[in-house]
Amino acid sequence: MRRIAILIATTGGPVLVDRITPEPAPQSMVCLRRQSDVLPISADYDDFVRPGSGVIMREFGPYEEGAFRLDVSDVIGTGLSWQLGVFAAHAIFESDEHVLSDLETADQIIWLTGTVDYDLNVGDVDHMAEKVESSALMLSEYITKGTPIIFAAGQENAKFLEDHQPPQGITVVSLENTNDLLKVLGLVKEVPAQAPSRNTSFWPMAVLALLAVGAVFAYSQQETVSEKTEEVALEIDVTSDRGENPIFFYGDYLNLWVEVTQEAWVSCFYKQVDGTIFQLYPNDKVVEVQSFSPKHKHVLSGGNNATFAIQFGPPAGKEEVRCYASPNQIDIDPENPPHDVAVDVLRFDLKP
Amino acid sequence: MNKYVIDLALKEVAQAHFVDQDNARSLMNSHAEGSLAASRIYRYVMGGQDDTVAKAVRENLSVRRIYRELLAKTSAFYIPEALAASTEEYPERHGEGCLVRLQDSRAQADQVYLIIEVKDQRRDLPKSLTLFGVEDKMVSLDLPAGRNGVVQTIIDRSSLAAVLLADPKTEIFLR
Repeated sequence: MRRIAILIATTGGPVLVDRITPEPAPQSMVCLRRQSDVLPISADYDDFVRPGSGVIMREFGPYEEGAFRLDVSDVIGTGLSWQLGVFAAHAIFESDEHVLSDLETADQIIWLTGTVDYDLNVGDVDHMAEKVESSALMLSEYITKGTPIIFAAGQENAKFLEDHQPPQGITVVSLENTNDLLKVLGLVKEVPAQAPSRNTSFWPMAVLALLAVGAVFAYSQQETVSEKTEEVALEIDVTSDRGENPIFFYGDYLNLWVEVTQEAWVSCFYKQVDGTIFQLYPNDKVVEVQSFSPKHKHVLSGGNNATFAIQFGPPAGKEEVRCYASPNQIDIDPENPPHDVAVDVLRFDLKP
Repeated sequence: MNKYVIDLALKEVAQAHFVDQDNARSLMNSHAEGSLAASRIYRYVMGGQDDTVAKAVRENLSVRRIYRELLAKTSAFYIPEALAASTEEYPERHGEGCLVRLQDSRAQADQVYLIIEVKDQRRDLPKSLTLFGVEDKMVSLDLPAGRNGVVQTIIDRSSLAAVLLADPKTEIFLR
C-alpha cells in the first residue's frame, strides 16, 4: 500500500487529513484532532459529500452509511478551497492500493488547494502566497527527509506557483479537473503516477524551499506596495491565521494579523472570559513602536518577524482581542475608548 | 361564603408548587447581594449571556426550578420522561414533532452523535437543548445550526448530557 499524506493548504498552515470514517449519521462532519469539536465547515462538507448537492457519494459511492466523519489535524476556517484536498482524501480512502498517511511515514505528500465544482472542474482560489508561506517550515523538514512533495492546484494557481520557481523536491501540478488529480494520485490506470525523483542533497533543498517561499512572499508584498494610493477612511481589520472566528486550545499560539486602510497607530487589548483586560500591543517586548503602513498585513504576534508570541492558557471560554487604529499616537483606555478611532474585534473560543 | 373542595390527590403537588413559588418570590424580592430579577432569568432562558444567572442556575435549586418553569413556557419542543423502560443504552426520545437520539460513533468509541430531528421542516430548528434528570441534575447545550430538519453534533460519551440522555426519566427541552 502506498502511503499518501494529504495536506489541505490554508493561510494558517497546512492541515493534514487524518482519517475518514463512514458513519451511520444523517450528516457528514469535520472534526478536529479526533475530538468532539466539530468544525464550522461541516455544513459545507456535508453538501460536498451528499448526493444531489455534492460529488463525493456520487463519484465514490454508494456507501451503506449515510455520512462521513473527516478528522483533520487543525482548524480549517471559511471558504471552499479545502474541497480539492478533501476530494483527494476520499479518492485515496476508496482506493485499494493507497492509504491515507501521517507525514512522518508518508511515501508522498500532496499539498492541495482549490475548489471542485459539480462537473468536477478544479477552480482557482485566493491567498496563494500566504498559504505557501505558512507551509514553508513544515514542508522544508520533509524535503530534507527526501519525501516527494506535490503541489496541486487549479491552472492559474499552479502557474503562480511555477512562476516563483519552487525548489527541487516539490513538483507543481496544474489541474483542470479531478481526473487530472486522479492521474497525479496514480488512481487512473492508463496513466502512470507522477512520482518526482528523490534528490539526496536535502539540506540545500530545504534552504531553496525557504528562499522560494521568501520569493513568493516578497512578490506578494511587491504587489501591495505597487498599488495606487487612494484616499480612504481609516479602518482596521484584525484576524488570525485561523480565520475570523477561530477555536484555540491551551498551548496554541495566537498569530494575530492586523491590516489598516491608512497609516495609523495601533493598540490592541486582550479580554479574558473573566473580564480581565490587558494590553497586548504595544508591549514591553516591542522596542520601537511605529505606525502601521496601510494595505499590508502586519503579523503582530507569532510570526517570524514578530517580537513576541502569545500562548494560550486558562481560563477557557469566549475571549477577544480588540484593536484600535488612530491617525495619531494616543493612549487608549480600553474601558473608555475614544469615539474617533477605528476598531475591530477578533472573537474566539479558547478550550482546554 | 364560598365552599372549596380540595382534591386530596393534588394537594401534595399544590403544596410543592407553592413552596417553589414562595422560594422564587423570596429570591427575587430579596435585597441581599446576589438576588436575581425574574426578567434577568427570562433573558437568560431566551438565549442571553449572563454568567451570574448561569452560575445561579447551576448552584441554586430554587433558581433552577424557576429556570425550568420559564423554559417549559418558552421551549419549542418538550419531551417528558418516558413511561416505558428501554433496553437500549441510549433510548430514542420522541416528542410532539421531534425526535432526540444518540448514535454511536464508529470512528471514536468514546464519542456519540447527538441527533435531533424535527418532523415539520418549516419550523425553526432548536438552538439549545436543556436536560433535567433525576436528583435535579441539569445540563444545557448550545446546538449548531441545523439543516434539512436535522440538528447534529458530537458529544463525549462520558459527558453529563450523554449520561442524562441514557436515562429515560430525563426531561428534554428544546428551544
